[in-house]
Amino acid sequence: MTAFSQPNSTVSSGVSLPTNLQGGAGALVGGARAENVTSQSESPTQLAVRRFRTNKIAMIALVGFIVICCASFATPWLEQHWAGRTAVEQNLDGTMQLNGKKTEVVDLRGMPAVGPGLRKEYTFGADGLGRDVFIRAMAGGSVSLRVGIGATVLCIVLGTLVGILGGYYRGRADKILTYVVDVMIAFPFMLFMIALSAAIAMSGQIGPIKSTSILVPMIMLGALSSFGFSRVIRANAIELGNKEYVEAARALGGNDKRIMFLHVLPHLVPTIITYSGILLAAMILGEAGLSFLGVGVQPPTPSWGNLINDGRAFYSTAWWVAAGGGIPVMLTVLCANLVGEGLEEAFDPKGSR
Amino acid sequence: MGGFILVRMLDGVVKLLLVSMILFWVLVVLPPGNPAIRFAGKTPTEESIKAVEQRFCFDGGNFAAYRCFLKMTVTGNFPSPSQGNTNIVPAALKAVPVTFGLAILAAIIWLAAGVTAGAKGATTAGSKLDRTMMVVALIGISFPTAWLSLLMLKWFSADIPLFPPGGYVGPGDGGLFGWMHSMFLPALTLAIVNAGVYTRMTRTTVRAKLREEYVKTAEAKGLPPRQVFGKHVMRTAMIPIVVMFGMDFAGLLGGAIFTESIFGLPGLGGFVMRGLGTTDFSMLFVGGLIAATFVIVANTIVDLVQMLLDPKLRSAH
Repeated sequence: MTAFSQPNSTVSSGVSLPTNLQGGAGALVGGARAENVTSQSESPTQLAVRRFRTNKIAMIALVGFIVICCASFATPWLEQHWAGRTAVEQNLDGTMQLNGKKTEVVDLRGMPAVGPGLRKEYTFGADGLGRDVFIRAMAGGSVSLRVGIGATVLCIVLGTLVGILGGYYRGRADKILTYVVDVMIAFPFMLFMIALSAAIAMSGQIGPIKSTSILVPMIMLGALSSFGFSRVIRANAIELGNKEYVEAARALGGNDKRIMFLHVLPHLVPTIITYSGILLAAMILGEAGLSFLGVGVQPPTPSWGNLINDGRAFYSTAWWVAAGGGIPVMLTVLCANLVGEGLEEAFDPKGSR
Repeated sequence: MGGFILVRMLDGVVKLLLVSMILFWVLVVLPPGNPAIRFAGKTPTEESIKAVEQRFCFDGGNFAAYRCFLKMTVTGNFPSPSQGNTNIVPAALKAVPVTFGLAILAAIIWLAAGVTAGAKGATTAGSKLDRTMMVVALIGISFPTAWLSLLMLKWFSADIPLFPPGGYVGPGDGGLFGWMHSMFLPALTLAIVNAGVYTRMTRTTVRAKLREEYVKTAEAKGLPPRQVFGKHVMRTAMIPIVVMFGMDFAGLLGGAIFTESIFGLPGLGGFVMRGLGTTDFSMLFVGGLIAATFVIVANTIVDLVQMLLDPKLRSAH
């Protein structure tokens, strides 16, 4: 991913500067935060953390992401104390008391009649079944975020494993792995997901997992994206495998497993962390897309993609139903991308500018 | 060079075969139960199951059935039980130009916007314009396509009735204008989602090139800035963009599913989605295979174009 220039954020980008000087630059820019930095030498990780903390935009995005997560996982509390109804609870008679007046929530044609407003019930309006869009957006968030984060972790674990094995061992195993990855990348991604989920839906049950479980889209997204990610890891692992210290470890008699996990893997961590933000963004968009098409998270479980799909029927009149899914996805993806970018700059200030 | 092309084409064919095998496995072997019963439709009878078994060679085992499927697709005669035993290959092929037109129109918009904005951003890095463009690009990337499609429909079809709310007008029926009229909104939606990625990528590559020694040399020689930028910067900066474009374009041919289904375009995505509701997955198989062909052909073309643009790669072969 690319980086866009932020003023003041990476003044401390000169890697060759002595650390105390960098601390000074950081303090100048980032305000009070970096002031207590000692002139002791810092590990690259500490350096990266400090660079990230002086990056205002990335920090705001990180806070935004945490707020979205907290709000989503506080759904049960919000249901009870804010909206007074659960995410799947329908308003069957289609009316509510609004400012002491009886108001239609859903009109006779089944159109949502209550739009967004500053009130506790139906803060973001109602959907076609008289459900509270705000609560559904929050409940959907807890599902979408779980799918997104789970898929990201799975993608990273699988991709790293495949990439490191291929990149470190090279030879025939690598050739086979690379070819498998090439073939899988030749698949139109969304189409393959649709085909796979159609087949899974027909199966009803795969091992211990029900086909309607949110684990299905999570595993599918994570596993299928890991092929592309393994390429990145492989390229890095090849480079690391040729480094002197790896050769030294080998000369000292370290076995392959030990070298891979003790000497190669730790150096891949910056790459993995940098990519995690972008991957998370892609996964959340992927979940929204799949659920929108009806092959991701299965209704009645709310998810952001399902919410967009709920709003499809009344896109022009009750736009808020689709927005209840669309806005959170957009904000989350924006935050994840910005955090990813901040991480990229923090770990590799030269390369990204 | 000729040998290289041949090797790449053979490689593509082998990959396509592997992809078709995986597709067959996912769609036919993976779901539990006898595939013949599933293919016989919602109310299978003894005879219909027998007929399906024979036609799709299910009685000869999975591999024979796979060969049957492949043969029927390649020869263009695939009677799908769920579609009243009509041949679905012509329908799938008819969907291709719709998707192709959509993808081309979208690509023209997003490339023009993305590369121009990215190049401008790189030359004026750090300026207000540059920062604004990058933020706008990031917001574009963050939009879920499905929701953006709905918003576009609301704004430019319902609120301001500029475009039809969906449906497809072929160039044969409505002329070029009619076609553009029905295609513009979905193409614009796709372009908005993609333009951001290209803006940011162009900006990064162009900025990296601007720092290269040979660019400084060209400047020092006294070449006019326009020539330096066009010949020395943009030409090399285009290589990664072309590579990404090839992949994205091919992906669109198989994956413009949201846009097509929301705007009601009878493209490949719509074709595949129609197959989702049926008990046999023959439409998914045929549609998927066509889409995978596009991806693989595009990859091959990208490789060749990359070689033409990059003298370093050319001399390596």
